[in-house]
Formats: sequence, C-alpha cells, structure tokens
Amino acid sequence: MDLSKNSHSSIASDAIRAAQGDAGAHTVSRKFFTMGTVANIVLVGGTEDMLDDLVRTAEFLQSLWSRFLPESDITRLNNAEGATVTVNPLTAKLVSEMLAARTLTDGEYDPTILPKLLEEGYAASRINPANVTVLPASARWPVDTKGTTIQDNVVTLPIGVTLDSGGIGKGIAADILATMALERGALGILAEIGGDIRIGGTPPDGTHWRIDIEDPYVESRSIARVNLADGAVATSSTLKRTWDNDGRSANHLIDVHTGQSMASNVVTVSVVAVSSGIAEVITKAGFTRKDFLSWVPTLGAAAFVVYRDGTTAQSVNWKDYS
Amino acid sequence: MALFIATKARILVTVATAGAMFAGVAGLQAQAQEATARANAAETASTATAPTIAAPTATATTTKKKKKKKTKVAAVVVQAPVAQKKATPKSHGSSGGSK
Repeated sequence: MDLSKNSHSSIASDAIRAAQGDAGAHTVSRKFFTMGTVANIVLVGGTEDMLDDLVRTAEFLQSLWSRFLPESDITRLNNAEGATVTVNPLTAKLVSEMLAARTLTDGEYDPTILPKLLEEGYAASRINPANVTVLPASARWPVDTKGTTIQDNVVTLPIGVTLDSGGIGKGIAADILATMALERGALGILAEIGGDIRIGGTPPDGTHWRIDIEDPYVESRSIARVNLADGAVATSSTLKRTWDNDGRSANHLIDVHTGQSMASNVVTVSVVAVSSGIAEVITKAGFTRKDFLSWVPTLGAAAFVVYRDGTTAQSVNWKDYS
Repeated sequence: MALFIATKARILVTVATAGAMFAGVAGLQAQAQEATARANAAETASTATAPTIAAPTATATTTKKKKKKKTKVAAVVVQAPVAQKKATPKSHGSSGGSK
C-alpha cells in the first residue's frame, strides 16, 4: 500500500487502522537539528522519504529566515535600508504574519526588536559563533513599521526597521511542515521546533495527541499535559538561552516596554492555539501583560504559566485541553 | 551545485503546494497584501481590533458551542485517559521553550 497516495481523511485513517489492528498505523519519527535548536517530527502513516523531505524543508526555511546567514532573505531585508527586496513567497508570508502578530498581541510581540536583542549581547549564533548578525547603522528600536509594503514576493521595509524571525519563524515552520505532511498523505503528524509544536491528523494511538509541558526547573519532568485533536502548543522561557551581559543576566526574550531582557516574575509561558505561529507570539505577552490569563481566551487560545517561585496558573479554558 | 539547486526547487514546489494555509504563490501574495494593509491600518488607527482567530480543537471537553467555530479539522470527541487503574499514557512530545 502506497500511503503517500492516501488522503488523511478519517475514512482512510479508519481503514488503515483497521487493517493494521490495535497497534494503529505505522509511525516513523526523526530528531534533528535546525534553526539553532532541536526539532522532532512524528509521522503516523508516513514514510522515511517523507521525513527526509520535511527535514530538507526545515533546512530550506532556515536558509531563508536565519538572521545569522549573510544571504538569507531576512538578512537581505534587514540590510536593504529602504530598498525593495525580492524574497521567497514564504518569506513574504512570514513578514506579513509578523506584522499581523504584532497587531494581534497589541504590540507585546514586536518583530522589530532585533537591535535591542543585539545590544543585549545576542549578535552571534549560539551554534556557530562565526555567524554574526550585522545591522546597518540606521537600525533602531522603537521604530514605526508604517510604510512596509509586501507586493507579491517583493518586500520593502522602511529605513530603520529590521526583523528577527527567531521565535515566530520556528512556529510557522512547524505549521508548514505539518500542513505539508498531511497534504502529502501522512495520516497524522507532530512537528516540533524548539518547543513550538503543531499537531494534526491521526495520533499514534488513534485517540488524541498528548503533549507534555516541561517543568522549567526539572528537565524532562512534565508539569502539565495538553490533549489535542488539532492545533498547536508553544512554550517560551526566560530560563533558556541565557548569558551574562556585563554582570547582568540576559536572555533571548526582550521586554518591549523596557528594551532589555525580560525580567518577569513569570519564567515560562505555554499557549495552546490554532497554529504554532500564533501560539508562539502569544506566549510573549505572558511575561508582561498583567491581564494575560483573562485576555488569552479572547484570542481563541489557552495559557499555562510558571512563576519564578515554581507556582503555576492557567487561563480558565486551559482545562478544555488538559 | 546543480543537485543543490534542483533540491531547493523541489522543496519550493512542495512547500508552495502544501495545503490551504500556504496555498501557493497566489494565496500567499493575497494574504501578504492583506496583512500589509491591515498592519498599516493598525498603525494609524487609534483603536485597533485584534484579528479573530479560530480556537484549537480540544479532545475531551469539546462542547456543541465549540463545534460552531470554523476549525479546519472536525473535532474528535474521545474520553479522557482514566488515571486510575491505568498506567499514565506516554506523551507524544514535549514543549519546553528551548528557542
């Protein structure tokens, strides 16, 4: 049976599951490194060839979106100084999603924060320190994105605007991998890049996907569990990717109210949402927004936060997914 | 080099046809232009309204009200795992924020 020719309809799922008995559909998985972090893919009813294609796609997206690579679309945009740049259509999509996400989160997620991130000491790649983000002298923050144009696959950023695809890029990449796998005939998929997870289709046991939220203080220990039929989970933490910046503890999350590393009482924010890209950007608001847990349900999402003292809290609708 | 280019082209074609959310160049362009207009409007409007998005699909506690929301995948209503008398099911993945 050539699974790649099957749709991921429930009828096909049921038929294959029935043919394979209680063991469920065949599952293949792959753990690999991309976008400066670890990624995992679990395919139900998929093949090793599909996994190969998904890994190559992730690498391709990294080549487009990494701010550390001199020829990436994002690097060329950041150094265009107001000139138009022809980019891959997926990059045009990424830029539009970044701007939309800023609106969605009332500015708590800010894709233009990159100059401050560099000031905090995150200029060089953690994986290959020889790869350094270089911005033009005009780069600044805060900056007005009004005047940004996206015409087909030609993007123009106003002078001074630079973009960091770090978090949202991983989330959207997970969304792309999941969509692609189901489109190509996999029955189900879990695509995870650096804690941004998108699931869809039939889970390995035929019931639902189970995602554990990692305890930020005890690695590999679960502090909460999410049960989903379709959707995404993303987690951001101030305890990961930290470094010393002239005697001050710095991390990869920048507070849009101060322009410095996040110094919140919240250390980890997990969000369940319809897509990984959306879940990812909503997590950022969890570190600063005082009404975060009551605000999140208005976006069709749910949230779980861990405070510095180890206590936890959740939005009222979190129980719908746990 | 030729092989590398061919591989990239294959990936590009694959990604560009990878479903409704990323429905090819035409769809991307339309969405990008819409987002641009929306972002610019948001910058100038004093009272920006957050875009409405669909909710993810829960498993055990999906209600009729939730079914009215336009999710791309029909809700799969199943019983939640019973903690008592059963071993804890293994998770399929974990989210820890190591970005």
